[in-house]
Amino acid sequence: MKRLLDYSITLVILLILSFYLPRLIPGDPVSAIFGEEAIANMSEDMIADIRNKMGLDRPLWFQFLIFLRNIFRGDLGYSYYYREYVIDIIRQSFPWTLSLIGVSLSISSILGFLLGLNASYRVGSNYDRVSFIAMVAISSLPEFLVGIILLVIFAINLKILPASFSLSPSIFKAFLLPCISLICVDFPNSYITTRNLAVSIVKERFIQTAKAKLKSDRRIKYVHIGRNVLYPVITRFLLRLSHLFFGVIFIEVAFSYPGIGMTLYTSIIHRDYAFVQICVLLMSFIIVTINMITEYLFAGGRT
Amino acid sequence: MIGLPITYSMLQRYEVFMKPSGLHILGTNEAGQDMLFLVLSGTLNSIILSVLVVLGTNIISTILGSLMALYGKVFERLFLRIIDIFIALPSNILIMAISIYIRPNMLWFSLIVLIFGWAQGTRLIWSYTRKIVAKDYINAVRLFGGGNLYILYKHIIREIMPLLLVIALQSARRTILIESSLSFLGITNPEVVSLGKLINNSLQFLYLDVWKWCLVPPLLSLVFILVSLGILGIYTEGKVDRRLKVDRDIGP
Repeated sequence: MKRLLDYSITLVILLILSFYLPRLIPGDPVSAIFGEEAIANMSEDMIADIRNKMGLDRPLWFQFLIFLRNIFRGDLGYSYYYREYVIDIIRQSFPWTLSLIGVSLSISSILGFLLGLNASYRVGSNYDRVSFIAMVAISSLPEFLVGIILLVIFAINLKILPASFSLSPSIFKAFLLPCISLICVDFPNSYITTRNLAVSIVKERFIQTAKAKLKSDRRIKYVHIGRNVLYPVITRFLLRLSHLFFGVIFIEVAFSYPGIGMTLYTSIIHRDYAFVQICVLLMSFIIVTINMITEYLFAGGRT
Repeated sequence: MIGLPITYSMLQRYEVFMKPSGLHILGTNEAGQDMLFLVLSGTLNSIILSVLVVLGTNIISTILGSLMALYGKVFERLFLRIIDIFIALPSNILIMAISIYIRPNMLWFSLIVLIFGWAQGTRLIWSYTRKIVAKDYINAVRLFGGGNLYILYKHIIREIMPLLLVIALQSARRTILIESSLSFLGITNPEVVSLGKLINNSLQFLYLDVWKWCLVPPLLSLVFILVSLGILGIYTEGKVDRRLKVDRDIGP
């Protein structure tokens, strides 16, 4: 319950920040929210209308209430760069992002789980040592670097996969490279987590018992040890899910994948802040909510 | 100030896209600036930024974390609550959001990273200091009239030195990671030379043949910094963990 309170305070802070940040910039909040280009193209009436709608002549707390009311009504504003409602943009791009994260996170979790168990069984061997260092090295790279390295190798040098989403003939081929790079980003984490958890279980007595009962190595590895690390591995899955919502932005930008990160990037470049404001709020809400659910479900397992 | 951080306008311009030669070991970029010098100054800027953040994090977490454990009571509970809230905040996205709006220079950026990064270290120091404070010799010091600040200065700082190394490595890694990612997106100050910006710039020329000396050097330099920080971090963490375990076995 205590943690639940923390997370609710966090959500309130996020709301206040996303409301207050555009108003923090010196100058007109209208131009901060919609971008100067959009303002230059608007007529006086439109600007006056927006001011009236946002309540900019009212006190700050009243503006905040209007902001909250609009969000809870689902009225997230209008993007003047895309010429669409923000909610429609999100509705179009969000499934792309979600499918990318979902597919790659599932694959990397399963792979990391299997290979991590395998490594924990051979702890101390050269194979384990080398792969552990390699995994630490890869996991310390930022997402965009992994994406660019794969882009240079597969799309520029070998020319077997398309570099950019719009240039590709088939969706599947274009989906492959972002997916592989997101797997590469997440796999080391999954591997290291599983391995470290499993190493402590390999030493347990019941593994010796299982060995004495002449169970096969494979059975001991994937059933006896695997079952015991499954719980924290699922926690890791959920935590990484929230973590990747930030990392996926960079992968999408590197491959110009039409997800929410790429849309965010485009609107940052064109200073279309109406979308940025809502997008940041949405992503941080997703992250905090997933973390909250994880903590609620698995608090006993982790501490 | 003293010419730091290095900005693009400080660099001399030569011919554009020169091939690597004796004069320009890595060639020049699209604006005619020497690539080797750009990579070196980008690396230097990242290091300066991370030093700023590391200093800030370590000072805050040492003082606040150990004082929380020493004073206890309401002070401790209040700050624990604040720390928990800060840990729950999605720091990366918020750093990004703030940078989008205010386009901070290096000093402000280090401050923003610091605001969202002090909590983990402080929590770590607090949990370790709490164990030290419970030991007998601290009680003895108290009995002889040593105050909290005296204990902090004379005993606790010495005990938590290895932990400070771990925290420093972690926060340096995180700072360079977020800085290079954000400059890759072009969100940080556009004047300051940065490795992420160099990489993003050279992505436009992927289909020309120049990417080999425009993209590879900043990329390798960033990989080198981050991988070494990562491996160093894991290594020291293992060492410190072992040391803490030994401490626990000897102590009460």
